[in-house]
Amino acid sequence: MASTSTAGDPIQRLIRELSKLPGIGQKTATRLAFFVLRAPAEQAQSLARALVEVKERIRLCSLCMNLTEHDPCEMCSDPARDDRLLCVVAHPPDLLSIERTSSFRGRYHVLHGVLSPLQGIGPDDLRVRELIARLAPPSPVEEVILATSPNVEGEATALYLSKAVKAYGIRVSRIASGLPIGGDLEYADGITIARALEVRRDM
Amino acid sequence: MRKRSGPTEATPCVVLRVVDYGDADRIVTLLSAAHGKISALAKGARSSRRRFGAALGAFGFGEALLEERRGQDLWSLADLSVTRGFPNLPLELSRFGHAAYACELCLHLCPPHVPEPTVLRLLVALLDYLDGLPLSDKPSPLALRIFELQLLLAVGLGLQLYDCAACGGPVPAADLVPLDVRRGGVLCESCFLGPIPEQLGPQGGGLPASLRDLLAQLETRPLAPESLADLSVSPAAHNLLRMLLQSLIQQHLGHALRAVEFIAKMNAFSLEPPG
Ligand SMILES: [Zn+2]
Ligand SMILES: [Zn+2]
Repeated sequence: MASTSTAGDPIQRLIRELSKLPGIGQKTATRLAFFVLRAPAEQAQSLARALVEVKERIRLCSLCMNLTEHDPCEMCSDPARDDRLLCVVAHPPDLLSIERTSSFRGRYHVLHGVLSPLQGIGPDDLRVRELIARLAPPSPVEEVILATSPNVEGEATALYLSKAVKAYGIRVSRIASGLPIGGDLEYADGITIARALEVRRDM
Repeated sequence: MRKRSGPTEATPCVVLRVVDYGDADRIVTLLSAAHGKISALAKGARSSRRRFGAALGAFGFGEALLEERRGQDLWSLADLSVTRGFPNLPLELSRFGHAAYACELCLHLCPPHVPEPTVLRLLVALLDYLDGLPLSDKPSPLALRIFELQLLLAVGLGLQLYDCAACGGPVPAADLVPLDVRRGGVLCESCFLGPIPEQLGPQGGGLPASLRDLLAQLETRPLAPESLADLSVSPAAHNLLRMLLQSLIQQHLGHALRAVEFIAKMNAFSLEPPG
């Protein structure tokens, strides 16, 4: 008896494609596939269109390297933003986190990662050369704010970049890290408390 | 309230690797005193920093509270408190690369769930050495050689230097003794037929008495600044040493290490401003 091949079966194909997504196992992929199958046709088409469009229309801004539909991106072309301040982040979601606070009105640069000996990621795997190109004279940038996460790799990346930025005579600052607002000193770990003491300020 | 299914005593450990898992969790691989290399699920580690705080980064040394999950290879990390953070490691990329290389070697060479107190001590000694080095100093490459050699020895992959790797018989001192890296050490007269090669290559050859003594000496040398300071090895001998250890490690790993790739990338990259 001939075996029933499932290679061309659309349901199996969808499950296989979905299970390639991060954090999605076989079980979840199956559940999602049957959800799509039961959903109205318009909903499935809209999902398919969104998937195609995100790949077709979203690219990197040639200035800040953030993801954008228009190049240069909205933030790079906004004349109201301050050209003298440049905030460097590791990933696009980090930029969104800072933007949500509405407390920064300068420009951004997205590295798309951090230096990582544990993952074999070097400077050429990141948008480091593009950052340096923005600092070469005549550059309006007067201060670079390094906003990589305060973990081992984020710190190493910030230190590495700070040396390169200083070579252009541009001021470098690092986002402060320490105790979270509303946090409890008693429950903070030693490294965080030590860092909070290190970056203490006058009152 | 916690579902008890295994031991929950605190054990000293070093964090070897941290991988994100799902939206809220992380999987950490630890080198622990009580259970050796072990992977554990750190629930809520991504969503709430209060849970594990800054402890959950690479290289941290501290105490882990681990719970076995019945029938599962992946244990559960109930708590992790860091007692030594090695804050100077990220300040300079070559020591950062060295530290990552050491952790990666432990990750790949230590068998899971086998207590390795010697390896843990050795790793902490190397991290301590790298962290304590003045920022203007480059780490001594011999520190890495001692680490590699003693790690291989501790996990049972060391080179046999005095007993024949094939028959176990003694291999007496001589100007040159035959060494076969694939067979795991020196060979006696009855196990090595033919003339002893004059040269030493990655797979072995004629091992000079001086290098044999150096290997033996480094196998017991404490990994500490004082001990490294009065150790002098000629560049030629160091190159041979590095070649032998690399080929031995390569033979057991069968793949390239990411930290090695990182170090190569850093060496090839320059950010000097023009002019
Ligand atoms: Zn832009
Ligand atoms: Zn023999």
